[in-house]
Amino acid sequence: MINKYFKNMLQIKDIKKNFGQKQAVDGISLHIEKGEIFSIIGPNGSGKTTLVKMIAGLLKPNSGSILVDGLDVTEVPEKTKLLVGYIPDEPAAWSHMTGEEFLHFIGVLYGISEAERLQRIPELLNVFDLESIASEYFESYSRGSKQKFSILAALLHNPKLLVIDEPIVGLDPVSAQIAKKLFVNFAGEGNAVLIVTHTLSVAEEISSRIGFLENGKIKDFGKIAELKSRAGLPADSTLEALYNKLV
Amino acid sequence: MFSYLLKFQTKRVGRYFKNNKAAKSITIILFALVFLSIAFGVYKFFNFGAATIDSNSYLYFRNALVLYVFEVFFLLVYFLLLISSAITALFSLFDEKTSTIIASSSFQKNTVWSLIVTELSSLWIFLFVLVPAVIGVLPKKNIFLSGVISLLQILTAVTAIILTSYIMIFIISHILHLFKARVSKKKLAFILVGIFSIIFVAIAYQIKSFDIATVLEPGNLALTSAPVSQVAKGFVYFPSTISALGMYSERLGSVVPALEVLGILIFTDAVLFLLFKLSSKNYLIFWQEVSEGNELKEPSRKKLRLSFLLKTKTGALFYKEMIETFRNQRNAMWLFFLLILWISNIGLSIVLKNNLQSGNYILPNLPGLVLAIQAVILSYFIAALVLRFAFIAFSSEKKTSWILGSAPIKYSEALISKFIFYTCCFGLVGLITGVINNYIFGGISGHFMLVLVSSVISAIVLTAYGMSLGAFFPNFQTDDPQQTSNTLPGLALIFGSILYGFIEAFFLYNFAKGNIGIYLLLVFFLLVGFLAFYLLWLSGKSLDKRDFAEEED
Repeated sequence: MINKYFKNMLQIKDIKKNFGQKQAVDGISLHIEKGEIFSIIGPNGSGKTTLVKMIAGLLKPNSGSILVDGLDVTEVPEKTKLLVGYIPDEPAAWSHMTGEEFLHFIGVLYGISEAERLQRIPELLNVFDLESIASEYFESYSRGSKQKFSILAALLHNPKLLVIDEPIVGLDPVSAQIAKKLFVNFAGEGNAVLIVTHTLSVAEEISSRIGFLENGKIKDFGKIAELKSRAGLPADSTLEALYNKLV
Repeated sequence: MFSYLLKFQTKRVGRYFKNNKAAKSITIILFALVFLSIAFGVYKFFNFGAATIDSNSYLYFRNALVLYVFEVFFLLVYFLLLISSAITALFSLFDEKTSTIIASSSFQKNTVWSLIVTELSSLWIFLFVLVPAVIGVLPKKNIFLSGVISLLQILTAVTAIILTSYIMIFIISHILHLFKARVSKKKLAFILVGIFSIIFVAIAYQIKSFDIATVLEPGNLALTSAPVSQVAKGFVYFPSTISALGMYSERLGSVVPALEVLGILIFTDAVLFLLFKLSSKNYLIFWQEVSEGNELKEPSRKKLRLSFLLKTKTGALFYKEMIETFRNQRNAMWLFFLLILWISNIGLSIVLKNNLQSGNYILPNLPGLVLAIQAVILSYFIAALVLRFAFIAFSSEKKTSWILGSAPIKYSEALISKFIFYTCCFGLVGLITGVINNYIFGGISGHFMLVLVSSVISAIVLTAYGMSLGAFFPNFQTDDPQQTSNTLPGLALIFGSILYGFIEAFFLYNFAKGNIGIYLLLVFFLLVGFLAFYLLWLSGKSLDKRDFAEEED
């Protein structure tokens, strides 16, 4: 159930994260509304993955707060993780587990009943046409197949927020189209998506708003048209031109 | 290339000391002190044994007995080293991660680099335990010279064994290639297992058929010394006899024969290295075949089974541990290795029992001694299993940590599931060992239930200890057991387990002798059980607090 009292699906307030001397994330604040797809782009080492991992609960922020549908990630991690679906940049799983076993395993961790899993997993496998390889070991999958299974695993428990680190790396053009459609439909159902990526075309194609991250700080964010206008670029200029101007 | 790889390793050490320099330096100093104390303990133990034999001048057969002990000791240790280095060599030579080196023009150097890494990781623990042991049995006269010679002997012998394991792999690959059979890790592993099984049967047959009591002729009062040559003849077909004879010569103070042995070993190393270089010439072809085989082979398929486990979080985590442990080829090789250890233990127990029965020895301390020896051997065996499987349970999760980390469970829950899984496995091993030992020694030790209970408790305590250490200090660099055992926490696990084995043996021995009552024994078991669970609880808390992802983009 989506919490109707909170307009924002994700609310980040002044979060910071350092690794020793290095300040990876330096006071980021942003929000993502329900029904929105928000993309963050930035150069290597700008803190994108660190930010995503903090939202997914893999890293603990040194300060600040992250609220998912009103729940604090650091205070009630188990509850907020039920609301989040995470797709990593490197979709590694246990090499001797089959794709089908992997999805069942994830389903159990998220408390999905066996009956529901038996109904939902074949449906999801059908999205990317993965039925024929579902009983093979993960180690035999290509990068793209691993990515597809990690996308399905993130959607399995009907999350409210999808957090994606590089959404279409390794996917063939058809699968990339399917994935993008999935994310758009997901957001259209009143959920939200946060994407961090280097693939500017994806960000441009499906995002409601875009943020530019550099040295752990958000340089600017907003709708693409607003950003271009603020940067003094013509409306028909590309996102690449905007990126080059801002970062 | 070597300078680059060496630089990389040096930088790794540098990176280790980048943060918390003081704490890390103190830890290393403390560990160094612990290792030095252990080396000293090993030295004193062997020195005491040697002094006891020397002081009993009426033991006319002591020289023959010493040679026999050397022969059996080196035979078993070298055989186990051969198996473990072959496993490491097989997986390091054909590791997919080596593709960057293979792609470079200096691909053949990967064989030498792999050899060096295996050598170094195998060697230093041997130096720590073997050298003090050997120096302990050497005469005080010319101790420095003897020590240096024995050190060189161990170095050269270990090198020869490791070179042999590599040569075996290359020769098998050549034969497969000759018969147009594609080289694969599976085939190599299968053939190696076959060869090791044959060697194992030969060793078992030799130890069983060589009746030391007949050779020593204790009943022949006319003898003033037992025939040493007969002992040597009994082991002439095993290369380990070279080391045994070398050590024997040094113990007698004969430097020249010891130097001759060292010369033979150095010459053997040179020949083996030449063979290694020659046999590794087609390494690139073998590597490509293994690599292509991975692409060509029909993917393994498994239908979803045991779905009854996939109902609760703990059940699902248990399921995951089970399939990752039992479907892994490398684990299967290690299980084979540990199985050989286990069967050796059972075999030696049978030999010991037969000797005790045939000699009609009536010793008041025997039940206690039998209980104590079983406790120490079982602890060592369980510790080996814990080190290989349970200790690295979190280290091996680096790439997959996102799955558990982003799921609505705590890492401590994963720890408990892993603990339950490994305790079930090792507890079963402990139980079966207890039953077998009872079957063998039942009439001697006379404490059936106690053996069973202590076996299972050992499994629980050592698993909890190993898992806690692994959770406190996860090592994301490697999950290779040979490398993890050489890390500080790995060594702490080995020595802690041995210490536990000795303390447990002490209690069991004194209980069997009637020095302590059942209540004190119960207090001991309860206390170690409590400590183990407390450590597990602490490590669970530490896991819940730590980040399981490293600095990134």
